[in-house]
Amino acid sequence: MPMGRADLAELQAKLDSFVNKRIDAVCQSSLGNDFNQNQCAHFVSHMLGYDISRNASCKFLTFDDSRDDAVEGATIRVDTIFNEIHSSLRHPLSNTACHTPGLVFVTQSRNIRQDGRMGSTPAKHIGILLWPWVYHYSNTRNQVAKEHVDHFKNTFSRVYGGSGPVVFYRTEFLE
Amino acid sequence: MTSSYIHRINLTSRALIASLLALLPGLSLAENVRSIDHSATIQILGQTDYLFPKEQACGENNRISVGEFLTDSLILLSEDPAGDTRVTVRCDALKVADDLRSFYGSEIYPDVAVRQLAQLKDGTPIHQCTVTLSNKQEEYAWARGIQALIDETGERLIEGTLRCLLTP
Repeated sequence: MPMGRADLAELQAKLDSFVNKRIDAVCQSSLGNDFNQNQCAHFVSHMLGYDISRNASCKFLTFDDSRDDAVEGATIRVDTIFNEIHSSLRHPLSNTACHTPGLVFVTQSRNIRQDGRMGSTPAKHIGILLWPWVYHYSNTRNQVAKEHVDHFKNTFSRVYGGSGPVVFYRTEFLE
Repeated sequence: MTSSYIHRINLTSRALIASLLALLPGLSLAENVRSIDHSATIQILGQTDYLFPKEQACGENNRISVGEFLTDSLILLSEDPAGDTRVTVRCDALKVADDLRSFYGSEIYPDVAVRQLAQLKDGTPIHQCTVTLSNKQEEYAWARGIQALIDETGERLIEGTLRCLLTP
């Protein structure tokens, strides 16, 4: 869903305010305090208010989380978000065009099924694209990162490329 | 663990459990972990014959067993570049009450979960345990876990409460 200019400015300001911060600044759930886990989808979902499925929500990871009023639900799985987006709204990400704001996904080619849906293979990542910046959760640095899209692509092409081709997608935001 | 306990495990499960237990020296315990035999927790999961509900999206196909899920996780690990690999066991001490029954009444659990919990009296001590296998190397990081309610002895789990957990 396209965002208005004012909404985008508000989103960018919000994202900028979290750059270099850890996930526990975003979420107080058990997952938000586990720095060994991949927080990419968790971070994006909190920023954009995505809580698609109870099965993949930080709010329902444990019974204690579900009772904690300080914990707001957010989707923690990349494939859950990707598969919620209509296939007509998923496009290959190229470096040559100034893309509209939205989400950026990366995974291994083998993790995309014939029907276009994403599988549950671990090598997958998500960020928010506000050209030319990608805001995402860097699991190496364990903090929110703001990187040029070229840098983002280079990093994940290298990290995920050991087991075959890597694919990048851009999509619109979820409604 | 006792030898009599091991004897109840079939060969496939024993190999699986041995693989997981081999990772235990690097065990990372959450602060709120209560006193429970974590090896036993892994063993009881490894010998459980149960199909996760399709609503939990645990595998590429609609339904996958606990054993297949654990095996797939170990295969993924074997294919991965060497990273920071951990097996984490987290158990939260709880008591059976209506709010706990309500938690397991959601659409991601089978109906039998509520029926099984209804058989337990209010106030019955119980643990919500999650065994998580994770790997992290640079930006490549993932975790796959299994969660269930397990009784105070750590030897009996309530099958309807089994759940897989995947990130990212």
